[in-house]
Amino acid sequence: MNEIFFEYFPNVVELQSDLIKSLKETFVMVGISGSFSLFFGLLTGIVLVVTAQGGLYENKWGNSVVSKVINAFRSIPFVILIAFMVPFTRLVAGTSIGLRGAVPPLVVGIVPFISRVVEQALYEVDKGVIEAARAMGISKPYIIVHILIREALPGIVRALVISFISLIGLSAMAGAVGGGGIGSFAIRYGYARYMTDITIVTVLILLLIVNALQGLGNIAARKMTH
Amino acid sequence: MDGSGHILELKNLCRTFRMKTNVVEALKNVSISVDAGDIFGIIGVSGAGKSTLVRSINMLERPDSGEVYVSGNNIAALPERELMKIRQKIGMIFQQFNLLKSKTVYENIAFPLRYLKKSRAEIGRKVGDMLEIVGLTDKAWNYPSQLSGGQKQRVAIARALVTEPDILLSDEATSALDPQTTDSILSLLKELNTRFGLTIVLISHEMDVVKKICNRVAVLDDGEVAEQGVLWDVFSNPVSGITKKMVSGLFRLDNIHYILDNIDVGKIIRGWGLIVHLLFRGEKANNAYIAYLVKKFDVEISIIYGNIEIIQSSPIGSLFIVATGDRAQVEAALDYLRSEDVRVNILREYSNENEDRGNFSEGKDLI
Repeated sequence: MNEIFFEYFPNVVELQSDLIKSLKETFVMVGISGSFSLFFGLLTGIVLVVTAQGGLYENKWGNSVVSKVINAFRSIPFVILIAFMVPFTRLVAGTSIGLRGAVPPLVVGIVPFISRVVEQALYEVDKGVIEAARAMGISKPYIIVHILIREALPGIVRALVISFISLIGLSAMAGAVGGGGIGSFAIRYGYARYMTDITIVTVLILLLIVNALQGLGNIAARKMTH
Repeated sequence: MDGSGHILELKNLCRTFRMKTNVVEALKNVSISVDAGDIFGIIGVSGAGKSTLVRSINMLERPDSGEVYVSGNNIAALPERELMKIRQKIGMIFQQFNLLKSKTVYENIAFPLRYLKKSRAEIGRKVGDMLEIVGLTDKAWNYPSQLSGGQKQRVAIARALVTEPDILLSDEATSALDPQTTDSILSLLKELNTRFGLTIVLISHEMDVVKKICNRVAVLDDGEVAEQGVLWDVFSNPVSGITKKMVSGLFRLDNIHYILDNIDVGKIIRGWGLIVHLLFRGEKANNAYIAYLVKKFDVEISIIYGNIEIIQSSPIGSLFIVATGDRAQVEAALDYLRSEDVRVNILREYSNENEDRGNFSEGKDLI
């Protein structure tokens, strides 16, 4: 078994420790930028929904501003966004390279996407349920937390799974410009040094991660749906 | 402080919706008063302004002008924070039930209590009581998706009443239910009304619903109150066109007019006669008036059509008769009926003396 593996994937065996290190970097990158993105993405998603027409805090002007900013950032290709953000990245992360330097562009790159998918999930909540809660004399913040978010949770979980899968994709790109991680590993060896086995194994690993994530997300969402 | 002792009084409510292309006056100077213990029906066709009206009671929709008195206090001018307190004393149920899908029956009912930070023990006791009242104790741990429409509405009722409000607003609460389930929900509402003195304001487009449990009614037409009063009065003596239209369905007046228009009733009248609609209420419905009239007065009476309706749990007999004979005797007979509190509505007068069937004058026509 080991011999067969060695025969077909010689570079993978040789660079084993490098591969594991890259994987760890990817997890750290996705973990940190994911946490920030989750917070900001949920926040803007909620802001979009409650300020929309007929929302709890209807605000036409505010809604339009947030919406336009999101659209603006969504229209910038990620590679260009990384370059564009360098001064800002230096300001908040202290550096524009490496793991730390990858986090700000990742957050800014994924937050608009998360906002939109979360917005979509929140829109699915029945307006009547919110009206019923208002009729009970329940405060708006309480309604947002205990009804809007709670009722939309299965949808939000599904939306976040999609977002995290996209984030893994973005992190590979950030890696290519100095962020490290599995993406940069594949480019450094698989692409630059023609080690095809590295490329194949990297793809297989990513396939596994994405599938596991999607599977777990589906199970979680199903458990929350009654 | 005003409201003249009513638990709920709406005064001169106006609400206009401005759309891009048109302006809709949903409420035009609507005034309604509801007494404690009433089951007050607000009936009207869709688009009459019922939903806007009921949402003005708890200020989910703020009227452009007018006053809303709840237990004597004008709440129309209150800020949101204080309205929340008022709303906690006014329960509301909806056509689409509006339950929380992610929560069990128990959690749904407990929801308003959790918000009010009640103790675990108190929540358990109150939710348990409500579950028993609505008859869903065995469904406490089910999710709404596992319930039938009627059961969902029962949960909604329990949730609306668990905070012990004085008033319950019902916005087409039975409109999504089948006739049997509608009846069971209506009898539950009636029971809550008699057992706990709960005041109910019920919105419906169905005459049947209002007829079954309301004691007072307001007829809403195109944003205006066409008529309001005791159910019996409004139903037995409708004044406005829209009410007549609704009531005519109830007493099958459409049938009698079909008969009058298509069958030559004049033929059974020799000489002079009247077509009369009689309404006997409650106990009176049992008396043998027709036999008595024939014996006591010198009149001939034939029955064309009759039926019985139950309104406010007392029967109303509806009878269409042809009365012929001496004009003075017929008048005397009808006067006697009026003195007995029978509602007498003369539909048509026939006079065949000069072979002219069309020579009739319409009396107090119901349509």
